[in-house]
Amino acid sequence: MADHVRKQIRAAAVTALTGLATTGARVFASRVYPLQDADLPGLLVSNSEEAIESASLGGANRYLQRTLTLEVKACVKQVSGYEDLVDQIAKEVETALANNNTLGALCKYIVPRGIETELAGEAEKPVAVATLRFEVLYYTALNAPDVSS
Amino acid sequence: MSLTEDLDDFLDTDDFAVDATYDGATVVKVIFDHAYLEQVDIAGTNPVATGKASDFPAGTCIGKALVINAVNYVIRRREPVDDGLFVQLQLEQQ
Repeated sequence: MADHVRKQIRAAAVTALTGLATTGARVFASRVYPLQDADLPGLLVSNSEEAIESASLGGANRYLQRTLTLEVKACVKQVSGYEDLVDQIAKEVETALANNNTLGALCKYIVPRGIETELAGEAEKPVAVATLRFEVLYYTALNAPDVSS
Repeated sequence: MSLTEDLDDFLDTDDFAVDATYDGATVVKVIFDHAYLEQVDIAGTNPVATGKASDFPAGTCIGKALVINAVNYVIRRREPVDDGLFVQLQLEQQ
């Protein structure tokens, strides 16, 4: 049995976001520990909430419509231009995911739904984090959450 | 009977204070800390210096350079401590 499609989607997003001009290979999935200086500027990729509705009638093989929120955090720490840099990263992330709009046929679409930027100045250098939220629509059968339909 | 404090007694370099260079020329004494700080998923430190308020005039010290242990900082915030004779300075590493 393959991984749950939501895990496959997260992994596909990491692949699509690895190698961008600003963040390079500093892309981290499901990370719970803070980024260190060597990890910056970097991206944090995680799944958050997911809404699920029945999309057909039937038994164990009925279809489910799943709307997943994929979060990508653009993280920066530098003396100046920090918000400009997270906006640059946001551009690169949105472009990369738009150019991989089905994440290799795992989903029907992935579209941006919101951006929230946080700035903080108590650290030795200012930090800026932009949280980009993407809506990911995909379908599975009730009894096969590991297969995208 | 009034009490007159010698503030320099609190900034003895034989104890916790260090010499720092303020605004490129003036040597002052401060107590420097840079404890671990985590903000919005990013690890770092919180560099602060405590010194005499008279060494860091309100209204003019913000944005000035402070060199501590050969590291260049800029003063970003000045916070009076208790009665205001000392101030705590939030620093930004350059």
